[in-house]
Amino acid sequence: MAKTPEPKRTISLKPCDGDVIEVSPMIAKQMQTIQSFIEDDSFIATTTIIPLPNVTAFQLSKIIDYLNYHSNSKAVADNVKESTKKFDEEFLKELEHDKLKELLHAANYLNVKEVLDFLCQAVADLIQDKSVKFVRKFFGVVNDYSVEEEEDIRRTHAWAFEGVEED
Amino acid sequence: MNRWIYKANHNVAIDRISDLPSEIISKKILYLLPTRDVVRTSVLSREWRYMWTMVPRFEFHVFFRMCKSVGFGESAIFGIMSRILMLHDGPIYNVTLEFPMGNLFRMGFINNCLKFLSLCGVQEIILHNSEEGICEVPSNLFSLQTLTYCMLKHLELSLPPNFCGFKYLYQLELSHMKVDSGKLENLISLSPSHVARLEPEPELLNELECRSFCHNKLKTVEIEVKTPYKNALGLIRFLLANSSSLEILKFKVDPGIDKLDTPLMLSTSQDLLEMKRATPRVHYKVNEDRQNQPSHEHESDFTDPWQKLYFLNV
Repeated sequence: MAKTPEPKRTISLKPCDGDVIEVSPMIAKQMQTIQSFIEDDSFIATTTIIPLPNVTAFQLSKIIDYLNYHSNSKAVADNVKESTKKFDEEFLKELEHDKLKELLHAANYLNVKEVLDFLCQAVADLIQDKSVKFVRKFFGVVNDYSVEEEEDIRRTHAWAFEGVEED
Repeated sequence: MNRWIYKANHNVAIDRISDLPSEIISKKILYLLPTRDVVRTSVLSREWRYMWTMVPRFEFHVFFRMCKSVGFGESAIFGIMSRILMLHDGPIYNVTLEFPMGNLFRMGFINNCLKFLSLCGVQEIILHNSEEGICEVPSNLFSLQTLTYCMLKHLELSLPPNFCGFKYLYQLELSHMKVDSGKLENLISLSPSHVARLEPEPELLNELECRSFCHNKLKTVEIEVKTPYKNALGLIRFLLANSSSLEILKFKVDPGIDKLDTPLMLSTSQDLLEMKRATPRVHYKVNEDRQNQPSHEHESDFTDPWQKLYFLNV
């Protein structure tokens, strides 16, 4: 294609640690927080580096990985779904609970819906059918009920606790 | 989300609902869980106690079976469910009810639930009769005027005489449904649905033929059938002749791995080709070859080699 060569077409993002990461406008667009930066009048694509003090390089590259993969496999044939599933599983396998939560924070801060939805589903899958103790630990919740109060609630909703293993 | 808050939160109790923003938890994560898990969060801490009541979703998928298996009687189960409905606060957008609906008592209970839900602005509903045999759709379903998505399973479609359509319906799915002639036509023509996914009982399918549809908004139709799918061709002919805005008709034949019937497969392809000749505006495409798949696909992605997809683009 004989188009006039455009200057620089990527957006520079600076995570709180590590080097500047360049992303395509297509990917940047999906991060609402970045998008509002870009739409700002003072933004000059060639020189401006967007600082992201709340996001680490690891988190940013994870999010970009996810968006890259999923924007390349938008075609929704049944067999594409299979390999997407595989990618998603691999993606989550590398994340411990704390990393997963931190990534959720980052996705929330960048306001990137696709990743946010995906991670929320992952958290939901993780805590489904799990014991109260597990869920408390996962969310970092401090139990402030007295023993009697807790017993009382458990009795009120006894059906919801049936068959759930306590650990 | 400042990192120091996050770190501090590991040891000290801070006025936060958890490690994660509470909006993410209440609006997104809890929304994705079955109601049972959501109710259970009330025991986490004081701040969580009533959070479940505001989650705008009811998911009673295996609820009945689960309660039965741990020894609850039927009236106890209905009691639990009524209580949950009563304690709930605010709108409910998404409902899944998998219940046996066979006898009058059970049907009455489901109808009561639906009546209550009709005041909650339900937009999406999955209604699944988990009992052997097929019974009529609970009549109060038709009072859910805000539905955009409706999925019915193992029921017999019957419309009340004064039914005047789901005004906002976008997608309709019928799975293993008994549908008498005229009923489906009425439902679809009264509701501006754009997508219909039909997975009929093979032996009930022939009842669908021979009545004129008038559903000019229908854009996508997916039909999925198992082995005896001869009748489905009649339905396809029918949809092609009567849906003025149909764009995609997806016909999926899934005979299962050990039931391959090559002659039938071949004759289906032939029938569809003939149909194409008869209706010139149909673009017909059979999607069955591996080389047609996008290049980044790998061999193991094909779980069922006999599954074929027929696309008819009108």
